[in-house]
Amino acid sequence: MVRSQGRRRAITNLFGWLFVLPFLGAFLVFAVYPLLFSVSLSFTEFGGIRDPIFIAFDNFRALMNDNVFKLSIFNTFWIWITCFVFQVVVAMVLAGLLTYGRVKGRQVWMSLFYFPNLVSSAVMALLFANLFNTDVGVINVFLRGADIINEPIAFMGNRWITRAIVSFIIFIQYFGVFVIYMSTTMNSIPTEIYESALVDGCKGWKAFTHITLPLMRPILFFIFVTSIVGGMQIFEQPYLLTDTTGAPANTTTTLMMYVYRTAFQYHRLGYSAAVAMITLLIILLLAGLVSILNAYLKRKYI
Amino acid sequence: MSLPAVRYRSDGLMTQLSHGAGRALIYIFLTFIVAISIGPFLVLFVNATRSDAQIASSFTLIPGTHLIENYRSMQEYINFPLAVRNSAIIAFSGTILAVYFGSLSGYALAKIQFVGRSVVFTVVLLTLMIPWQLGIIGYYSMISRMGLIDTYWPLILPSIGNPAVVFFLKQFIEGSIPTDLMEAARMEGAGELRIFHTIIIPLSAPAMATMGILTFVFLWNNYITPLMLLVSTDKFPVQVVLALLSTDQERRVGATYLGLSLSIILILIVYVTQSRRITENVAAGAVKG
Repeated sequence: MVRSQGRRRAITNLFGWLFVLPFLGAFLVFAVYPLLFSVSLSFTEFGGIRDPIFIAFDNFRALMNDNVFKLSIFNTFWIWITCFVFQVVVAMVLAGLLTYGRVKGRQVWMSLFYFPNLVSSAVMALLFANLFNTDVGVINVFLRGADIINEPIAFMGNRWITRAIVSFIIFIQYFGVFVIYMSTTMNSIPTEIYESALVDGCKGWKAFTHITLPLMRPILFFIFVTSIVGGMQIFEQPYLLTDTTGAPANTTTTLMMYVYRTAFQYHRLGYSAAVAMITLLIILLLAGLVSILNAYLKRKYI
Repeated sequence: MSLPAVRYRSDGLMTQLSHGAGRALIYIFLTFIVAISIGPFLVLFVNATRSDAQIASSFTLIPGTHLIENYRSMQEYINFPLAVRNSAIIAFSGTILAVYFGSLSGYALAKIQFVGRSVVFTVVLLTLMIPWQLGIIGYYSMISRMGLIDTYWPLILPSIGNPAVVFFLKQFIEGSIPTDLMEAARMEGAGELRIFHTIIIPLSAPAMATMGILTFVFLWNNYITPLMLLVSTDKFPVQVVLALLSTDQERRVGATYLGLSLSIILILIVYVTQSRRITENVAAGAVKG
């Protein structure tokens, strides 16, 4: 009896491990190993063909004097921050309206807001490149047709407009996700809380800041972190909007674009890996700061 | 899970907004947001049917008559059906692998009490937020050393190791498939793999479909990995081919609009039929978070 139980345990362990093995193996080979390999490559000079040469921190030292790299950090942050602020504010208003505003067809509105999230970043970028094109772009054709302008505007010749377009594309792609997250969370707040607060004279804006916002802290934290992780890795939108160049004059080159360019145009894979590692450090640092902020707010309000 | 029903509350500002002019304002605002987010796609579809000259000279939302012409112009420069075939091979095989191995692991983590189970699950949880994409240079170097550049293997096989799929399917199997069913099957002498194929897969079909749709969309939309790993033009998937088309010197505008339209039509069809499933899944993500 004892022996057959031991046998059963062994079989259970065997099958358990056998079933998770393909997943674990693929995960180690295709995700964990490449990232660790990238870490080690960032300390080497590597052209892709001959063996990597260990050069310690030389890549990172060189990055400190690389103006395009510094600019790409600024661009990435500018694009992410402008986009994120608008996304959170607009999504909060929309979620509030859909939850508390007696709006008909809540599900339909949410479906419409969410749709752009399913379209690829590449297609979004190419679509907007065509809409804002100087010669044949729909926006210029429309403005000229309406006699608002006489000469076409070179939108992509201006760094602020180009950055704003990138920001706008990403806004359109992700605000719908935020609306669904926020609206679902607002819906789960029990009505009784608002009713008992009303007895104490707490309503409207005060109810929002004292009840709704604190109760939304976990989801806002989640949104913040996922947005940092995604936002620091922006690639397709500026890459394809500007025909891979980051025009004008690298003012829309993002960190991920610089990773790609140093690796596959300049064939400096070690240097490129170093850019990717700095990006990873920035993400970890920001996520850490946001986690600390989250823990502080949690202690303060609940 | 389904979205909870909307509850109405009387909290000052919102009460004012839900009457008369306030109501109209709400709908105007919602319509404005839809116009800026969905509007570009309308322009896209309309311009796919207009000639290059028409697109460059006037703005309209009335469809034109140059659909066939644009298709020919597109085919002169790229082979769109071939690109669709390539994308389909990558996305379908990746999706099937992700869903099959994802539910296999999910089943083991949910229902098989093996030693080390909680460690594996903790690993899955911890890895959900890590930006693995930042390892692309290491990935490229590894694939290059393995001699797999310009093949589909490095685009398809990583789907087996997707922690998000495992997490979702584990939660589903744990929550909605009774353990008694498996115990009964074991009494009858069914092996673990047989239980998985005859009980778990049919019963977790709804969750597998949800994850399948999301994985498919992800693989279909992926741009940077195929761009980096594929060399031959005839192996390029849709996203990469579209980028080629739009950078063509002759500037085939109508053809570009048509290619972009065709690439999202499949996604659009899936979404029109499955929008509730998809948005509810996103909402479930909110509860997790």
